[in-house]
Amino acid sequence: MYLDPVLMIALPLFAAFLIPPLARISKGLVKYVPVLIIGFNLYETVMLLPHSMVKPVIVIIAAWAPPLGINLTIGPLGNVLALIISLVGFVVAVYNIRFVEEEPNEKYHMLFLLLTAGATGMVLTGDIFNLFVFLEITSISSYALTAFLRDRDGAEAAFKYLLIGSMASTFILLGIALIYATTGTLNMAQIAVRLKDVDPRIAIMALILLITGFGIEAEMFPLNGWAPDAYSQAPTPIGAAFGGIVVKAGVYALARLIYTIFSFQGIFHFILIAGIITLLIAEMSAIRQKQLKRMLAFSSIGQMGLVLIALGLATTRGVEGGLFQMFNHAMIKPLLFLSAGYLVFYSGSKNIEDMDGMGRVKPLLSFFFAFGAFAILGLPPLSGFWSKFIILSETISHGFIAVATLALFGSIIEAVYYLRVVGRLYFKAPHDGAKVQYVPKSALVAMSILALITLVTGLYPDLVMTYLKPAAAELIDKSIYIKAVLSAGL
Amino acid sequence: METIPFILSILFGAAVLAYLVGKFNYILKVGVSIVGLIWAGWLFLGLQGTLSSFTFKMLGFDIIWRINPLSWLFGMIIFGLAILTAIFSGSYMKGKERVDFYCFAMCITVASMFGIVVSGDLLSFFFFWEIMTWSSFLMVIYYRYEAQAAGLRYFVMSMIGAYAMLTALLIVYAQLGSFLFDVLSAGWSGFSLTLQIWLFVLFVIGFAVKAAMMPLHTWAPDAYTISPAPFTALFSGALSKMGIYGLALLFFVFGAGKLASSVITIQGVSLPGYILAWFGAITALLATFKAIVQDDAKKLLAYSSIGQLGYIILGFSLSSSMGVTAGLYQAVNHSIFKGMLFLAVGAVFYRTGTRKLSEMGGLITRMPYTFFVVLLGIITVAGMPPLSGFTGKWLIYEALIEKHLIFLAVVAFGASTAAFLYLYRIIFTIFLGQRPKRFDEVKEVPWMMRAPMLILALLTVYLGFYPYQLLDLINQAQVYMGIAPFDLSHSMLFNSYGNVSTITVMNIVAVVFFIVFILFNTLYKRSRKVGLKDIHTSGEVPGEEINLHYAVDFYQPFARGVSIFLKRSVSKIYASLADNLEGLFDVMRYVYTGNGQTYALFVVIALAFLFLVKDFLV
Amino acid sequence: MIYYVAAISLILIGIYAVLVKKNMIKIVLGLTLIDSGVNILLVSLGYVKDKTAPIFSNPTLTAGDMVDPVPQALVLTAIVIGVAVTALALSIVIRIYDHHKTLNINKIRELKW
Repeated sequence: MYLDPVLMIALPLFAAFLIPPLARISKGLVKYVPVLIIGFNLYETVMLLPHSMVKPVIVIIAAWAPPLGINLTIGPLGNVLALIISLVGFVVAVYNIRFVEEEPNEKYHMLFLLLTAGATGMVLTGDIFNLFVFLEITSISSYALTAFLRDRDGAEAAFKYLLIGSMASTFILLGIALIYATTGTLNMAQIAVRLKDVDPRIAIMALILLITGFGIEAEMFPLNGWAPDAYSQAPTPIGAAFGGIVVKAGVYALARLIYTIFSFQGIFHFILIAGIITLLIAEMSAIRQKQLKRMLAFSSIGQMGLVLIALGLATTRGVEGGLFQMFNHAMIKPLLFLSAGYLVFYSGSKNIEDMDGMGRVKPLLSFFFAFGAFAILGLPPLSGFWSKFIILSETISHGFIAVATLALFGSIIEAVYYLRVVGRLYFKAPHDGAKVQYVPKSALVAMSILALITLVTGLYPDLVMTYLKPAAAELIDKSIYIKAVLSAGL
Repeated sequence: METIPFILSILFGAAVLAYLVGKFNYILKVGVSIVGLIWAGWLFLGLQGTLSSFTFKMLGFDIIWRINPLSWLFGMIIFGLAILTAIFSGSYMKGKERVDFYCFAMCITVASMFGIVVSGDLLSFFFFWEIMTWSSFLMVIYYRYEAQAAGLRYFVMSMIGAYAMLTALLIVYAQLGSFLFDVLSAGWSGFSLTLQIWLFVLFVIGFAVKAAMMPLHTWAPDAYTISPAPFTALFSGALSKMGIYGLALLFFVFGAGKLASSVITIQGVSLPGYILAWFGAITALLATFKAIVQDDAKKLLAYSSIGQLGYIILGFSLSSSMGVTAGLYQAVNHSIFKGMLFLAVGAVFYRTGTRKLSEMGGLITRMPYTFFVVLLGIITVAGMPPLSGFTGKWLIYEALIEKHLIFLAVVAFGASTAAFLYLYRIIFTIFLGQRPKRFDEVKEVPWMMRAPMLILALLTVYLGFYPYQLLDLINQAQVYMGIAPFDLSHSMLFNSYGNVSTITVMNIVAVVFFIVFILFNTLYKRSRKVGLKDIHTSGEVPGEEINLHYAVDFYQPFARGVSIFLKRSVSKIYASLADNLEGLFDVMRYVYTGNGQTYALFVVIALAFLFLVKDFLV
Repeated sequence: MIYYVAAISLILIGIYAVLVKKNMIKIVLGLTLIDSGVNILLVSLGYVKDKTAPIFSNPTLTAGDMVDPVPQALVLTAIVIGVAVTALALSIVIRIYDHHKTLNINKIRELKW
């Protein structure tokens, strides 16, 4: 049985600000707080699943029924994404237990909790301004976390991220202003209803502003300049969280906009084209990267390109594939980042060429990296295969053979650079004096969870697909969402 | 439980189990994989003649795993070779590192190949195809350090092939809404001609990469050379046959063969088939030339393997009853003889530690069993009676002559004759001549390695007598593929140009052998045993240090003669292409200038652009 | 109308500063300007001429006498967010200055390509 879903946002927020006083009492205790709180979120999302799949769960806050008050709308889509976010958050929190030794680590845990709370709020809220606020919570904690290591590069990356991120929030706010001016409401369902009567020339302007804003979070080209820097300079678990949490929330917002709120058809083609350009440029940029985490960042952008392609198809199966790809990416990319974190840590360098022979020194760690690389390349029986397959299948079915070919081409490039790294791990002799160190159990547990999910999903994709189908249906048929929200108060 | 999923789970289970228990005990991990393979093979044997099938749904796609005569034939190749090589590796891999990894990858490869042949739909076909790619990739890179380049090349070429295939099968799905072979074979003729040609080309690229058809072969020589010897046997013998199996599916099950009647035909062969036949023939010829000048024994065999697969493709692409029989027969036959040759070379490597032909010699007295295997092997490859290779080559020539494809026949003859050069070389430089001092203590390999080789060798002798047994299975497959079965009786192969009785051939050979044997033993009984150094040295007695064993630059004049064919290396072209492409891609990352303001500018430009095209977005 | 013009000019000036100025503090100021512009725009959206603040300070007031309260609530939130972002931005700028000894954004591009 689930508790009040509001707790999924309220509890992390509350706990986040409880952490600094708690740290006064006991420093050691602090790092378990995120595990506990996000673990609760995970429990909640799992418990909510059977309910939300049947009928969206609408949570009315302060007795103001929608569209008047702010409400949480936990439909299949929101629930699935909240589940993904909580899962990644939980795994990263477990990993954090031993990884973050940098002081002041209570601030780190606090910011991380805020980030998760913000992202969860983004995918659950039914109010567009609320979406903006949660986005800001997520972003601000991301900026701070990027600069957390207080080093030269971290500060630089954080500034770029902040610069682009604040522009994004400005555009989103402008878009919201425009929407409110024309429709007089902030409830997403009611906006969708009222936008029908609004002059499309104005509505499209609002959509453009919002798309640009959320496109920045979703790493759409050419709005993703911040991404490689931020991913590679943030502490590694945060890199994982960006790939698994922040971007997913951004893509959710994008999908909600183009599918539920607005009903423009041309925008889908734009998303499709933006997707393939994003994918190609990212994969090409990745091929000669010298730093491991930067390479992973570009790969992450490329994967989001694939998701955008899927969303741009605007078909049920395409969206299913896109959501599946999001799920897989949220499992695999953190796996890669988390293993890369210790690879970087032990080799003492961020450069790929210093990873030589880590397969010998750290076999388990390298195994997880290789596993993740295979999974992201879409090799069966790992889960990446199915999502790629469905997306490409839909792309070709709708006659975009050129797009599919280019995407496959990108995949081949991807194979080259991933295998080069894996090759370095295993084929090169280790450097002299490579110190064999102990990988904490918590990190291994975190990575094993992700690897296991990847394998199980790959062998039995229907397990996840069962839940993704209603989510995709919610996007394709917007009346489901609108009806559920607007009838909640009656 | 259904048999097919059960066999699959045995194989995958054996892989995982071998890896897990492999941490403890050597015998356990090898034992698990061998027992698993034999068990699975035994169950599979029982499926002969049945039409067992297993259907389920995955992600809403219909999946069917089924058995039919064609897949049974290829399944037999897989299991036969896999079991023998597993036994061989039981001894070969002893004392090597990471045997658990080896057993794991081996079992996965076998499982995926089995999956390919039982797949009744394109989705699971592709699924297993990709598993096969990465698991065999793991095997190629087994010897880590030097294997990286070869492994990467293999993987990338395989990916290109697989993605060509993926595109084709997704187009099929887009057209027909199903991945099932049955639906495809019914629907193929409904496609437009352009589409048919596109699909044909894409599928052929996909399969030809695995079958190492020129010019898509460049991964093969290195990958074959670098992988562990027992696996090379499986690689060349069974894995490359998956490409052939794919071609068989494409031509006769999917219905690309029907393309034949709709476009121009040349001598009764459809144009695509004709072009493919030329690809096969040229592959056979050029690979043979390449093989002749190799010094690495495994590389030589690798090129030989490419050449032999060229023959098989040649046979298939004729699409005639005899051509297909020839292709299938040669496919099985190639698995047997290339399996035994690779194992034998592996055995030599096991004992001598070298694969360089120029460094070896005179091992006949040290490794007589291995010598015997190689001798039978090269006779089979050369297609000389009485061994099984004869029937295969005979069928191919007959098929070519039947279609009046003179030029192709000439090329095929030429390649076959040239093949004898490298075959002679492999037995001469390894086993005959002067033995280097350091190999004086070399011993024959253990029985565990001898037995698999000998079994394969005896199989070629047996098939030499009774090709009928195999041809009968092939005929069943052909009936399934919708091709007229080949006319044969117990020991007679019939066709319009004359019949062959293999028994007669065998008898003649036996009689001749016996006569010569008697003659040698009576007339030359007291023949002087010629010492190695006792040759026409114009009265001078050569010293110990003078090497009279000409293994270096063996066919230099020949190499000079064919150098025009060898000068241009396709792999170099690919390498420079890849380098240039990579350099080109690299330019892309300069978009990310590192200046935050530039990124902000991008954002504003993107916004402005969207406002500009906003009418298209509505 | 004048509010809209003012707000939009503020936004444009801000964008200009962000794109052209090289000093990072000026860029942060530009961001703040954009923010203020958007806030003013939001408030003016809800403004109705001759109406009073949406507070029931006087029992005779009815809802019809007031301006739209929602934009004001939004702006309050947005201002808070803006302050937080600005503070964070400035602290990062300080950090960058510590490391690089410069505020010129063109010189701070070690992470590139």
